[in-house]
Amino acid sequence: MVTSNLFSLDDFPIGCMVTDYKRRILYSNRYLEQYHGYSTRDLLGADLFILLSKASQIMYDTYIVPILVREKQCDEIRLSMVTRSTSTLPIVVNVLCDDSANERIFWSVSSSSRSDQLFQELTETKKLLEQKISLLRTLSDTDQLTGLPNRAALTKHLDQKIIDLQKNDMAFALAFVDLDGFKEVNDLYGHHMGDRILQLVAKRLATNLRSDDLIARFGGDEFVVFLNGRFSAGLVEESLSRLINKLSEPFDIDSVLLKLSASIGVTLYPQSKEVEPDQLIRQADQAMYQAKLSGKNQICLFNVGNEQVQKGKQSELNAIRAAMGANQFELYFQPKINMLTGRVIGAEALIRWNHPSDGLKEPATFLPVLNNTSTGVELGRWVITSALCQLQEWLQQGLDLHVSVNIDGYHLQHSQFLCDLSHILADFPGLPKQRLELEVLETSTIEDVSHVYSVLNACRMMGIRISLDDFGTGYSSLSHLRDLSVDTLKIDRSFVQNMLSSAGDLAILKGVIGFAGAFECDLVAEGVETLQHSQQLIELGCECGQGYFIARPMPAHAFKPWVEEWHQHAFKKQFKRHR
Amino acid sequence: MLTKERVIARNNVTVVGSGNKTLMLAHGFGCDQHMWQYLIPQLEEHYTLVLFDYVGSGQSTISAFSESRYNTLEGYARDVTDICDALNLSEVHFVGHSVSCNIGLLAAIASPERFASHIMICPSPCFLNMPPNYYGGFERSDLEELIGLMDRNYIGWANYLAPLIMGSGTSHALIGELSSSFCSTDPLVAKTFARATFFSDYRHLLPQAKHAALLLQSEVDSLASPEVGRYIHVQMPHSTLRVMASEGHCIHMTHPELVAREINAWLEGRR
Repeated sequence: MVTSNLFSLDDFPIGCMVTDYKRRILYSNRYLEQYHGYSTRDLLGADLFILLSKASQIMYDTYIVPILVREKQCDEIRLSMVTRSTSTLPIVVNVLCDDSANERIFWSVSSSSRSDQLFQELTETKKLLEQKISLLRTLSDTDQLTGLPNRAALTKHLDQKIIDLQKNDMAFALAFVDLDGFKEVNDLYGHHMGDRILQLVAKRLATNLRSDDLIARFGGDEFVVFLNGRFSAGLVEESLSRLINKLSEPFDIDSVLLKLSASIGVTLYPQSKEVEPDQLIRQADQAMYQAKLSGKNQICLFNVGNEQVQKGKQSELNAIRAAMGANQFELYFQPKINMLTGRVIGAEALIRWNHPSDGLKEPATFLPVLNNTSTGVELGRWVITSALCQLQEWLQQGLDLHVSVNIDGYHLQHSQFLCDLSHILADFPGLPKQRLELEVLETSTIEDVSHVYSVLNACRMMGIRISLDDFGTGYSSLSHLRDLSVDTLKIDRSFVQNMLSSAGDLAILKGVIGFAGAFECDLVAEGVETLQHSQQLIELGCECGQGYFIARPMPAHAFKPWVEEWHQHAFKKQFKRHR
Repeated sequence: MLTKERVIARNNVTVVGSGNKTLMLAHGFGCDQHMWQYLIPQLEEHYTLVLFDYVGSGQSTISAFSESRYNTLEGYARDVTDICDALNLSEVHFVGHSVSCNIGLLAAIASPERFASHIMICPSPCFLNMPPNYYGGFERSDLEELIGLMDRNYIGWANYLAPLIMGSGTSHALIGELSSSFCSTDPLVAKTFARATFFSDYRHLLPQAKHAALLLQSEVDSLASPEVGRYIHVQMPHSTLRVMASEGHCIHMTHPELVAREINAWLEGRR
């Protein structure tokens, strides 16, 4: 039979207690006696606090009471009970206060000895884990060879710094350090020695930094140095110069004295635009590369402005490469004639860009960006090849002339120039090489003159003709003529244009014509724009010319019809009618 | 730069009531401004009440917590003066509970021009026994045990290892989502507040008090006994001690009428 009156609270294996708001104990069941050791009778009317440790009393006042007032109950609060024998027992209590006006508080109390032990073990486990994890973190953030922070640690450090600095408006410099000639040390003395050097370099760098700076090994012989503080260009260079000087002191490894140097690129933070940590590292790396290019053992500051220019340049180059792929470049040809006889002696190939949106573009609009680039060299190759193709076609069609192409200084100085040229010529086996003329701009930037002379002489040995373009405008015209045997001098258009009005220009022109005779070169006048020009030139002894008075540059397909028309009518009409 | 809006959001500042006199109600250790909810109905008709949570408590911006700032009561006092500056308060009657009485004292000494008087509910300048002249009620070992108990109570067992497993090792990981329960607090924050509260000794401040103070001491309060109240009264100039016929340390929650009556009488006397 089921009845609710059969069981008493004393039968349950849990401590039960009732208190009031004045903390007086109103009821305690028998099971609770096992915990506190008092007899129930002794406890009735006593202060609850005789059962609670001092710390638990604070918990009662600051934690349990506020919760009870607001929420009427709280569960699983851990406290310490003080027993009659004044030992303490960990307990866990649930507390509930009734809603009626008599404001009683009902407690269930159970021992938490076991879970407390578990907690102790957990605490110890946590400590152990903390140690292990901090060890693991140290390992994963440390470069094993040098003991410096590694690349991952550096990235973390930078991320954190950038966040901190955004808050605090501070600044730093980031330097990328690369040893010069480290590969040679490895090759010469072996990797063991290389490793020793890296350790010593790391130590030397680290001991020469301030405590709030950071140095990390980025990889190989590359280190990244993080310098706290706001730097001017001068100040950062001064600080890094000290590092460079320190690194250039010899390293003593097993009585072998090794001397090293380093190239350093550095960038500053903050910048006018937001930058990511890895972008900063790239900037410093780029600047370091510049330092290498400029001769190593030096510091180069990354220039944000340069980067923008470089980016713009890069996109132009990309466009030009795309245009090459899309066959948008075309050669136009401008005839060179003997103004006395009317014979068409040759044609100068001039590049044009059939731009899909801008229309026909003159070379001045796109050649400058190609200076010193591989794309420029590639386009130069295309010009030679296309010109040769056209020349072969004309020769086959019975047009007897030569074709000249303009070669930029940097292309001429390219290490593969002669090799490339031979390969191209090999594709036109039947073509007489003397029909090709290379026009070299006298004002081209030529760093290694003797190399260029040897290249040009080799071209001449192959039978190719060489002409000096814009002759008279360069500074070293005479020495060029002395050291370099050329086939043709092209008189610059500026002298021709002004010769009718300027006595000085006329004098120079006469001089150039004299030089050509003395050095036994052919002569072509550029910029023949009127009949008077041509007549005067002929009188001075320069029979060959090119210019708008004769013909403008024209597409290849128009050239042969032009030559035919020229021979039949035009020459006579233009040059003879006044004779 | 601390703008008004940032301080209001950071300390979850709320202003209720109306009246010429401004009361700033500062909660004690372990809770938040909700502990004033029983007193507010008795006060809001006559006074302007400024309520707030200390950084790390209640609905404050927990990311503004820094151990280095809040490991002494001076850090909490800066919260008080920040709020006074942000709201441009003056003639503030600072109503502090327990440890907040010390915080209010620090704030009033730092910015005396902002304050008019102190109303101290169950104050104690020092919870430690400092024999032979002072008995705050607790030995250092009692308070060490308290920190241990807090570990066991505040930290959910399940996420006890979470910060470790999640990595990062910074305090950010410890500052997790708090349960919405009243008085639940981030363990790191709670322990920092506990240490600042229970291990400090601000008795030397009492003679420096520049404003009058009403001391409301509970007749039965093991955290701040009437003896502690008498000590404060002796040490502090212009103080009035009222030992209340009440039990416990949270008399503003358990005996709000009594407390309101005392406050009203005090403020009326200061017209």
